[in-house]
Amino acid sequence: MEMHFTDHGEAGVVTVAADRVDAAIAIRFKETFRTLVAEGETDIILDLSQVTFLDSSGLGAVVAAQKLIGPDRRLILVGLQPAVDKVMTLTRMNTVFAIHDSVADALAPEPVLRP
Amino acid sequence: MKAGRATVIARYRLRSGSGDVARVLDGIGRDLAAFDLPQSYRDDVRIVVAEVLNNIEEHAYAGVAGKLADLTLCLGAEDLVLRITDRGRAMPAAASPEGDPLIGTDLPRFDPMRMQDWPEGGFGWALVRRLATRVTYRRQGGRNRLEIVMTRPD
Repeated sequence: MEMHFTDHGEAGVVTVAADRVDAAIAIRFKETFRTLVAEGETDIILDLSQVTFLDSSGLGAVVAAQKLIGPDRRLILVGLQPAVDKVMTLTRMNTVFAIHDSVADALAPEPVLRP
Repeated sequence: MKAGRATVIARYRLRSGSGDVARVLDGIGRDLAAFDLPQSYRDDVRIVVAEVLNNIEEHAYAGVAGKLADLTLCLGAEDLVLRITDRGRAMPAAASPEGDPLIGTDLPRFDPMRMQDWPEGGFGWALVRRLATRVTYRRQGGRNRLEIVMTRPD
């Protein structure tokens, strides 16, 4: 399972270059993620657009990834494919993560709220 | 396929801890692609199979590698029936699916405001219950026998 990091200034992007995040690779996922981001201070955008399958262990690994970067850094999920989105929705874990369609959407500045 | 006549469309034998689960899920994707089933339903089947097989590896076999599980897919006009057998530890009574997907194991409860309490597991049976129509468990002949019915979409 490959994962790479790119620095976008205000956020880092971690791209998962694998088609599945499952029980067999959950531990490697967490360890590799830790290696890439533990030292930083920014939000992390997790690009899952290449991932077509995520089981509950993979979901656990994503939750662990958020815990790893701590409460002051957000883990933002992008590119959820249908089966992945389904698992996130059925488990209601889609309500605790910010989710966007793409890295570009996630990097876009927050809209200013008008009164 | 004749209406009302269910057919075994695939059989798999897996060994725990060998990467067979991923290969079987890929195989099921191909098996089901031969029939007129929407991708969404095929995803549902793979999610259910993944959770059940993972539970067998982790709980029935307690992480021991090389242990056998058998999976059969039986497709009828109305539904797909999954039958999974393993030779591991019996499912504890409190965790048994009991045959009715609306009773029993549910999603882990947690406070979203407390990140340290966000669950990293315990989702598996809740996913199966939400995607399957009926789940039946029997312990027979030293084996765990699961039968999971997944109604086909209209």
